[in-house]
Amino acid sequence: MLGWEFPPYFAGGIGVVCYHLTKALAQRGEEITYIMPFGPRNIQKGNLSKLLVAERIAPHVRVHTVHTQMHAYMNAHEYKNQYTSTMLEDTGTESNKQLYGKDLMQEVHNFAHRATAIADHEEFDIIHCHDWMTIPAAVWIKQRSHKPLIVHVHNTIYDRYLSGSNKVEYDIEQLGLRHADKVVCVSHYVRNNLLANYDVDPQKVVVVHNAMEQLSPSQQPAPRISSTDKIVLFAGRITAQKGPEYFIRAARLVADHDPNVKFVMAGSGDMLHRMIELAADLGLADKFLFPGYYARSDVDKLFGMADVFVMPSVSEPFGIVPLEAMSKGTPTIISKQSGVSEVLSHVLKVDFWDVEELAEKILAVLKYEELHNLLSEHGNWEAKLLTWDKSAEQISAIYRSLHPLTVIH
Amino acid sequence: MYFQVHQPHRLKRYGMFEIGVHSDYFDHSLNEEILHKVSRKCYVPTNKLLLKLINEHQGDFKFSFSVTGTLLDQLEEFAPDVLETFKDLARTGHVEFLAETYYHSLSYLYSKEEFQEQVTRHSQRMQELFGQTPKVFRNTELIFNNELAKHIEELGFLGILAEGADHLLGWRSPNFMYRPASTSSIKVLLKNYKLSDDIAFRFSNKGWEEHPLSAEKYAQWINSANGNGELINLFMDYETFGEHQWEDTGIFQFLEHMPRAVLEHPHNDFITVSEAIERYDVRGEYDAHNFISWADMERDLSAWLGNNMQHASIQALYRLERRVKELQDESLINDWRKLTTSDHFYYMCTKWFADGDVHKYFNAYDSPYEGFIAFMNVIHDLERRVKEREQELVTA
Repeated sequence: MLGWEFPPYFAGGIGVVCYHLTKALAQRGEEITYIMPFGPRNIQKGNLSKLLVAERIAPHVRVHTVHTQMHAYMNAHEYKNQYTSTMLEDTGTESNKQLYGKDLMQEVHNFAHRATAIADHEEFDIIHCHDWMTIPAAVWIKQRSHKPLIVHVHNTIYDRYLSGSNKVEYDIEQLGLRHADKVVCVSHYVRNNLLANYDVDPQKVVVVHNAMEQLSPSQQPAPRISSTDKIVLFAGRITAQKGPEYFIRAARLVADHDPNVKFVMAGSGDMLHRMIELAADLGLADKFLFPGYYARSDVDKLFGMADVFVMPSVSEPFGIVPLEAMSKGTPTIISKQSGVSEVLSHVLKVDFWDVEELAEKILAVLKYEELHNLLSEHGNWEAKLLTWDKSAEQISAIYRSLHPLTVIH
Repeated sequence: MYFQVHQPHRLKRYGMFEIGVHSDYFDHSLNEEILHKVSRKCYVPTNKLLLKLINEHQGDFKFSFSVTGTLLDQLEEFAPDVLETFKDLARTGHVEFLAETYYHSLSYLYSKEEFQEQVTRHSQRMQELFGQTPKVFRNTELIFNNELAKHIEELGFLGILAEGADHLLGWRSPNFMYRPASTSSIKVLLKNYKLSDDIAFRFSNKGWEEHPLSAEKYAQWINSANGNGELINLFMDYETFGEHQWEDTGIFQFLEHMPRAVLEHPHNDFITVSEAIERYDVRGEYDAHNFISWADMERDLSAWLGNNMQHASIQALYRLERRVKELQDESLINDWRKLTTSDHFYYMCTKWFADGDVHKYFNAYDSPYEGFIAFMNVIHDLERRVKEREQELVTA
């Protein structure tokens, strides 16, 4: 498996998915050799191994790390900044200059070379890679080993930039789709997007939905911002794709109707400053809190203090955060333009652009106690049914279909 | 055979921002569209077929209807020609019309006064339209218990309909006339749910071992009850024909041939519920201490009153009853009464929502939660109007 590290902080869901899927697969008895890009944003070396030992699946998973400056949600510009800062920190030692590529594409190819070298010394039956940066490595490994390839699509470049403008990345995705024996999408939303915008045989594209990490219950009571005000929460990357602007515009309508509501927009991203300005422009400065970046350890507190969680994403390949909110018993409103809406019934759904409808639903959850309680209770139950084991079971079945002789130990 | 004929006045997705802006709660265009669709698929062809069967069999084929006021109002408004076909059936003299609550409501559970008013109004409407005053009562969704039977007896009805629930019958058969516990004269007719559901639910199920069900096979099942019962009560939604079971399932051919196949046996005939009450003596007591209904496996009230959204919304509705009625404002009373229809609470059922089963099929909203939101927003607007009118009266 060519996957990503469990991220130290919440930059995106892909590392989380890779970790839980690997764990669940190993628990089902699959043997996994895991090649992992390992960079400056990752947790300290060996942490994944520790996690694996803690989960008692270490014997089934062997981890190889490849040092790199890239991470899963990077674009060329971000890579440039990362590269420059690493070079400055290390005052440009020659070894680092040789180690890391000057631009992102070069680094993706560096990773592919190193991953292929590792694979040459490993025994495996199937190649399973996750999203575009690991695709060149996976395709090279396939060409040398002639083993079947699964490309697991969490997100597409086309969807992330809402256009086809990133030609090189698009071509790499297209390369992966062409060489893949099976393409696994995390939702029908992604699958439809793939079929509409890429050249790929629909027959080999299947859907395996993501699931939810079973969070341990919080030890501390959630903090309250105010004893009288209700709290509406947005949590995630503050980027155009996540629809923060719609959240703020809906907040304006909610505040007009009910003065005793506060809004929390947690997370960071390239739109953060514009959103702070927008909230101020709409006269919501005293209603809004922007706590900035939050660590995974803060998730409990965030959901615990919220009366309703909103994910107004413009485009969301899957969206794991609503499941986390629901597992904390927080009533949840999601946009219909999300993969996760395919698997959820006990949430409220809106079109992301329908700010008025979003405001209506926020107000209804805040006003009608029985609605709040039932969404909390049933949502909690529903989220807990979506286990990684179910997703892993489907992935295992795909493994068997590509390599029927594999024996589960 | 008794057929339940009903359509509710469905609500719009009335939003919180609409409260105080307008009080047009009901989705007229959706209601009209559904009425035309159901008329085309079910009411018109089935009425025509039943009329033909009545004429052909010259008095040997009869049945009973229970038609709600909410449907009749909509037929009058949107499809008066379809209403005429119901009147044509009434004029044959072989169709009996039963009593029920005008608004197909759960009022018996929340207000005996409102219940009585709705039953009276419905009976008047039956007299007006079909020229007969009902003698037999069926409550919304066959909701029934001993106390209700007693109440209905006191209102002067001769009979009442109920589900033939296994847990109350035990080893006994639903194919006899029973007396509800704690009553003295009223008779209860019990639904034979197996034979009824063979038509209403299983008819088109290709996974059912009896599929496809022919009129002859069904008649044999009816015949096999001879000697072990005196009457078989087939109770079902009228929309079974053409709407729940589509035309291409062969449901109309089945209905067309079934009476002849059944009548071939000399001991069989079709009668109306009042004729059954007159003809058959009581053979045992039916003791329903708790409420039963004809819904779901549970045969209880949980489809309408199973979760807290349903409880909260129906309580909020009946809390307004006294105030609405004291104002004697027809438009307020009408809106309030249309909200008593049980369907509004059924839409809020979360029992098997995730499985996408029958509840979803009948749901006018995306989810039970949206049904609740719209209903509660309407209640708040209604309450606002009540308050306004009360203040006008005080200042006047």
